[in-house]
Amino acid sequence: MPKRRYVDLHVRVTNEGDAPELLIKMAKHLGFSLIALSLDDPYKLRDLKDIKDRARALGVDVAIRADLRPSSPSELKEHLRKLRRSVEVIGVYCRDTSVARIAARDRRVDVTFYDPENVLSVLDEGQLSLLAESGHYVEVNFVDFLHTTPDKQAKTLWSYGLALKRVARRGIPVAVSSGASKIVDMRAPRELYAIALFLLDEREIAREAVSTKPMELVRLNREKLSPNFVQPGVRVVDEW
Amino acid sequence: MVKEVRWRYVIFHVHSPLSLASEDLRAALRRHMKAFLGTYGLSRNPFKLMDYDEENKLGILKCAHESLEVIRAALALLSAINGEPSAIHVMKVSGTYKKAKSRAARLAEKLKSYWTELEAGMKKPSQATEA
Repeated sequence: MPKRRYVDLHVRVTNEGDAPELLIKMAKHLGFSLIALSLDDPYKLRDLKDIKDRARALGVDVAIRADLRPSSPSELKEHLRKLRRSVEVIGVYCRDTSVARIAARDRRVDVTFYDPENVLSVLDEGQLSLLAESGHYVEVNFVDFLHTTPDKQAKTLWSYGLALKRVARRGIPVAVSSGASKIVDMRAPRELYAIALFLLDEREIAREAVSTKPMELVRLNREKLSPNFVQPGVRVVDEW
Repeated sequence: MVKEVRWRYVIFHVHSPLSLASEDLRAALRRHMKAFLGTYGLSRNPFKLMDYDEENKLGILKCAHESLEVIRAALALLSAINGEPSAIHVMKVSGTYKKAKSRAARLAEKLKSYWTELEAGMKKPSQATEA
């Protein structure tokens, strides 16, 4: 049986956080095969492209991710139009229902993630139906549970637990990532799995949420970005 | 006869800028676990800090086999010790204390070179120059 490969789909490169090289070294130390790095400003992503080669030398595959935090649906569409062909993963932070609905409908979006304060109200039945149709991933960021009071942590765990059980019932793929910008906030794959199990109560879905599901997303998106891609299932094999 | 409780020995690494004494870590763990699991949770998921190597920041924690994932999640959710951003990473899990100790000794050797670089990176510039 092949060895399971683990993925952290959300590692943030910020001004206040640690350097990307350090984040990659920590990911290697923790046992990840692939991490997706995102920048606060998605238009500076070119800076991250040199890091990919250096990361490969360390034995970690790096995917470039854009995190969009739009305040309106029109802003989201504009970002998507500009960025889709240049990044491997697009995540949308759904702070309110209007943005969440557009993100769930749009095929260019890969991952949606939510504010832990209002995850239950945004991730309602309407949103779940749209996500089930589009197949977008719902992401839980581990950092949402850190650096908070026990009361708030308990509330966040409860809200996410309820929301993720709804998500899993609908067959919507789930990804559990660290969402960290500092190495001290990064967690090992088995720790992310433990939290996923805590929230979902389903061993297989929890295991897939940190390994096969995010890996499959990156593989598919890389295939789509390759020049030989025509449409899902169709690619150019030879030219004459 | 089948054992009522199968114990697991969790080898963990403390990722913290602080140099913690064994007693400090024990108190911090007890505080965090009590806050996270509560009295009821602790009665269902007992744990005990068996050993802590202050130099290498490696420790061994004993818990029940059935509580392993809960303990792992609880340790992962610890984000500060004595007010400093910190983390506890589970490195290995063993079924016997003897084996856990020998594995911890091997891990300490492995971590020595690798971790120095990572830990230097997480320090604030002022701390790095002092060192």
